[in-house]
Amino acid sequence: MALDNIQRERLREAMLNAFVRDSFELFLDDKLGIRLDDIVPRDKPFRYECHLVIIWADREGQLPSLLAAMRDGQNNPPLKDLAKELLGPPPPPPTPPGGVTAAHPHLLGRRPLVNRTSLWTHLDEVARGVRKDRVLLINGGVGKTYSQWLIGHACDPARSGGRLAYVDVNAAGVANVDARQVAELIANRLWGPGTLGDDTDLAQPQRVAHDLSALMINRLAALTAPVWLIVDELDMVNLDLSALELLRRLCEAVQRGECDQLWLFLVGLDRLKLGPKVSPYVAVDLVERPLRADIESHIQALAVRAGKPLSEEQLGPAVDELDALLPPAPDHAAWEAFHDLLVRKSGDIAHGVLP
Amino acid sequence: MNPEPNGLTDRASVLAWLAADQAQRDADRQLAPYLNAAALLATFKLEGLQPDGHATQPRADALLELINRSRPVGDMRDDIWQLDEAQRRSALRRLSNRDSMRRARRANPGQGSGAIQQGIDLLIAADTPPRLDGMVLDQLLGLERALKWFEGVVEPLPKAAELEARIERERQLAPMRKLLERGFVDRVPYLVQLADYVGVLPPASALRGVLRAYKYIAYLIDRRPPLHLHGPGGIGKSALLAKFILEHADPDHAQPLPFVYLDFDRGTLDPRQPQTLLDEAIRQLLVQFPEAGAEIGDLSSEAAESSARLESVEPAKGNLHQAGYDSLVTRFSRLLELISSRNQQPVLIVLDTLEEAEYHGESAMRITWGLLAELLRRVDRLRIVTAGRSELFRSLQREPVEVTGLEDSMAVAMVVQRSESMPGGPLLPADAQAIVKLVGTVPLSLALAANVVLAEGIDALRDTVGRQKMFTRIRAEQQQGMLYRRILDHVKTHSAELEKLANPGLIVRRITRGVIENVLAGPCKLALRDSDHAQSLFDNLAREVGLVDAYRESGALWHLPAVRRIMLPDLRATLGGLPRLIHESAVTYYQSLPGEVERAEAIYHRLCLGDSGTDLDALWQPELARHLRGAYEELDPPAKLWLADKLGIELSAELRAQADQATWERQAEQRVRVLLAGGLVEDALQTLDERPLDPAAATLHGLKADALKLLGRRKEAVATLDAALVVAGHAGNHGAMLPLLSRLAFLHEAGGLLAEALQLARRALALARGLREERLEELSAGVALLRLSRKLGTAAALPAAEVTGVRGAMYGLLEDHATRAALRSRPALLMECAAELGRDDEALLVEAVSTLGITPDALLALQAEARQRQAPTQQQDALDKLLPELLALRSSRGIGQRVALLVPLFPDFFARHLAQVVDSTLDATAAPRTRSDASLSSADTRALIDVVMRRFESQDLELLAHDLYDLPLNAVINVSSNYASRVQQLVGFARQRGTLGPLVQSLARSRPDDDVLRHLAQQLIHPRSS
Repeated sequence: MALDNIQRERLREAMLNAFVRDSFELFLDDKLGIRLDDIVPRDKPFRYECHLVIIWADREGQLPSLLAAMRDGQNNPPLKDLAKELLGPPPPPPTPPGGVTAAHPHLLGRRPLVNRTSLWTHLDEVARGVRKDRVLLINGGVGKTYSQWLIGHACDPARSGGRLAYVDVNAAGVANVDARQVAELIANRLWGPGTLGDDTDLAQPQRVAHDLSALMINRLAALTAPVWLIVDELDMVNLDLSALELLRRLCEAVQRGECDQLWLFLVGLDRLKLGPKVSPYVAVDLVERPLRADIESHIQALAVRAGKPLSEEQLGPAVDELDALLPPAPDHAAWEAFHDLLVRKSGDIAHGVLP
Repeated sequence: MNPEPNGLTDRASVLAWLAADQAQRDADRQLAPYLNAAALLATFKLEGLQPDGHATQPRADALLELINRSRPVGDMRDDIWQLDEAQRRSALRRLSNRDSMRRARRANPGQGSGAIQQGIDLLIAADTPPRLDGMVLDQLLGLERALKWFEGVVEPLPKAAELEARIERERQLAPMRKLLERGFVDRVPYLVQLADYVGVLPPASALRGVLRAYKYIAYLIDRRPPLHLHGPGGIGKSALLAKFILEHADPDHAQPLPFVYLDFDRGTLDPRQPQTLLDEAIRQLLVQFPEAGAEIGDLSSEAAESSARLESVEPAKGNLHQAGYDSLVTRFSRLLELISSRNQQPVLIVLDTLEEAEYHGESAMRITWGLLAELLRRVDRLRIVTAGRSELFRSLQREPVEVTGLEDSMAVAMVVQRSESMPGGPLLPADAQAIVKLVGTVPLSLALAANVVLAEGIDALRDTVGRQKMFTRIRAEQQQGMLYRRILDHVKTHSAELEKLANPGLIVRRITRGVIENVLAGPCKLALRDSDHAQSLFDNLAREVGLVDAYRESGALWHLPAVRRIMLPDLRATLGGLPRLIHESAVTYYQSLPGEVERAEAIYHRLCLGDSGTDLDALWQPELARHLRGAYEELDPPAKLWLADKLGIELSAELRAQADQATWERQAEQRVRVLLAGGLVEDALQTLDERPLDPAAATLHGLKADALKLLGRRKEAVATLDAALVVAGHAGNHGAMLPLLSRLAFLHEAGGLLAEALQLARRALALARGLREERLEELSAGVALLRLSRKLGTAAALPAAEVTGVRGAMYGLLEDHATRAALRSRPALLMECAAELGRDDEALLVEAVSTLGITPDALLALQAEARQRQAPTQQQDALDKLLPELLALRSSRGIGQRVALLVPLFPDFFARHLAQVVDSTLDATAAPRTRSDASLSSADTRALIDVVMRRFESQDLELLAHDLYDLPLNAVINVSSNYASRVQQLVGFARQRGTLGPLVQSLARSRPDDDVLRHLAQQLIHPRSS
């Protein structure tokens, strides 16, 4: 799950009203086993600290636990109510294996979702245990990072019992991304900062990748609860050979079932970079420009939800207008324009003023 | 899954989204001054960030909003942030030009540092693109990252392709630069020897020139065996190679030496699969010489396709990959020749860390050496240097050079060099000399000693006590290497107890509180007070992240393999009887514990004690394999023999000879599979002849039949299978019968005995269905039945309902994700399935074509078919767009992924094509591989020339000739002569080369509707049957 900015703001203000710093510190320690000082910089206003805790929980996949603790583990009614609202109703039981895949959502929280049917189907099948693929590469055009919301939704602990761990290789702040950096980002997320161990200047670079891979695979094989690990923005950085070597070995081990609690999602990685031994055996979801039919289905679904179903005469021109905004390979600007128009059209639909 | 989370299931959800979106836009507008400023910073400290221009929002609110649009870099407590990608792009578009960007950047002159920031600053500093010359790797990478943000926003920018090419080139050298960044002392004799061998440097003296000339001649006589550097770990082999390569191949040189560096530490390199070496070598050469790519075609993708085909070679169905591999070697050799002659220099191929390749066994090394020998045979100016710990098997031709420690003066120089950057450094030569006396001249030991000096501080050398203390520590370091370095580096207060625990505690792989109490306390002389004391030691050791991994298993610490690898030999040599005592205590401790890890550790310690295989067999379970994989290298030969068998590691010939019959059979099977896949068929047969085969060893008999078949000894293959089937049948062993029956069916099919083959396939299918677990085997037997039924037509005498039933069952099997995924690992079967079932399963066709590629004759056939039947506009458009592009490559190899785009437009064609490939592959296995003498009568030759003239154009022949001979048509024939003469010359050339068969088959596949060509192709495969 993920909160939008308005929800974050509401939660922050409710936390400010419910706690003072000391009681908040105690609450985190008691309910989540987290020390506030281990998360936030020193000497910041409490309001800022509350906000950072939300960001931290979001990044670490701890938001459901934080909200559950606020719902069940403290006595401030407005905060309780808000936590309950944000957590939503208990999800229905997962569709049994062999059941029909649920139609993919058109709104995920407050994010519109156009044309991710293939990813949705894949995740649904993984969650139901129908699909055995442990590794999924998500690649293609603009919009790949959007996949994290869908993965996060499928992996919600309330549903799958899994934990979501999100690693963004682009946020390492360094230009040369090697095996050490990738391993460190994953280790920081899964086991905490500083847990990877030392770098040695005596070993050869390829040996380092070899040893790091073995270490990471051993650790990941020892996970005792399901983890869905997303490594994002791999196309935004220039991975050196050792980093690719590490990812290749991880994919091989995970796909082979050596890490039986891990599902690995690599966003922005070209399959061919995994080499001929590994690349044919990993599943790939390509983010492509939505078809006209996808846009049509999206608009119609929103209209139905808003209680204003559209006639053919209304639907056609609106879809055409949106469809025309997206070239075969839309860039960020095209998507932004598309999004703007989608919001305008959806507003018109919701208010019953679409011509 | 719940499709609509958070309870937003009605109109309210739509309105909430719209409201949130509107609020976000309003906030973005207000926040623009901060977003603009942050967009020009790679990362920023929130506290000091200043807006670009006037901000209306209160700063505290703005910063909280900014956090929502950013992500923390590293630890959140450091308060370093990076703007989200979409926000940055949006802000840059808003700023729109370099003037505005420079203004926004000026708002925070003190913020931002590092290569990425430098990249941003370079891109906005001037209105022209920055010059790339002289930039180091980090700068290039920083610029590349920044460029992604600015693309489509401002112009002009550096060309992305040029930048990427420079980065790739630098990346290639980066591991070597890193290896040498802490200094290198010249090892002149070795460098001279390398230069002599490679022949690159101007001769240092007249005598040297004479020697080199002599050497060059000697290479020609002795087939230039690879120069093999060998010596123990840490002796400096890789550093030596790095130095040599950087001296000669640095792109800054006027004429850098073309080179390939293959390090077997990289998992992608598999010595059993030489394609993987070629794949990497091609990648590296194309980085150095990108212009060669255009001439060689898409060699890199071809190597990938070839590797995919090799992934699971099924010799029973013919060596599908062999032809592709031969072509790949030919084309790679041509690339080497081209590069070498263009640069007027040799090409150097370096294979490093050969000990990793040796781990895969002698058969793997022989396959790798087979490739090297082939390349040396084909490319005059190729030089190969290898490096590893051992001298290598004697049967591998090489020129061994032992790398030993440094000369004393060089060792002193190295210690001085290493201490140069230390506070108070460098060391005086006299001090360095003393250290060299103490630790010897092995570079790794000297580096470790220098690290101790670094840890203690050079000042300690100045006073007597400090000097003695330090030298004592260095002595310990030399003995215990990395262990002490790590302990000393990280234990702030030197803990005697902890050091005792670490040594000899390193003898065990895994430490728990129980292990400290029950196994190590005595040998480590720890006076444990109680359990809490043991726990406290455990907790303290857990902090030594350079020594142990505390996260691999909850409640246990695992010594890092890298530390043990270096330390264990020394410890064993110096600890006397202590290791045995520890192993015995460990066995006693673990034997009562039921967990999987504990059982594996009990076996590990028993192996170390040399317990017998029978005792160990009783403890063994397959799931323990993953826990013992890392232990193999540590063990003595008898223990190695037992564990290798369990882990599927190939034993040396000596160990194999000592193995009992069951172990030998498993080892032989593994080795034969590798050798067959590598094309070393005679060696495979030789392995099977090491001992008389047990009549019940069905798998080995099956493999023997494969080998015999590949050698053209079909009758013996059939007899072998028949005999094994009888034995398995008597024993009622259906699992053993199934692969034998399948093989026999293929043999009969390949021999043209289709009706017999059909009955065998039927039996195989019935058996596979009975076995249930054998889904791929069921698939294999089922598609064989369908194929045979297709080939036989009405003569199959199979009820239509049976065929329909089998087809339906096969589709049913393919619906299962797991079966589908497993199918990808059996390329031959994938192709067979696609051939028979692809018409109704387009995804299967696409998968087969994109994985395995297609041949040029198929492209020509597709073109002809599309022309003939006047394909619908959409199909014709797609074909018109893609086909010329593919044909222009002059080779269809490596284009599988692109060709796969055409599959949905021509599904029938591709299904037919794959069926044809499967049929001809099976046919080809019936004919001995040595049919280079195949010929046609003069009447048939005339018919051939006639049909080629009628049905092929010159450009078609160009494509086919290029594919067959890797030569342009004008290198084969005189293209200025008339067409009839050109065709005659081509046929003559093929006959002369012994390739008339492949040429005619290729022509027949290009025009599958042509009866004359089909007849002629048959004539060349089965001369007697026609």
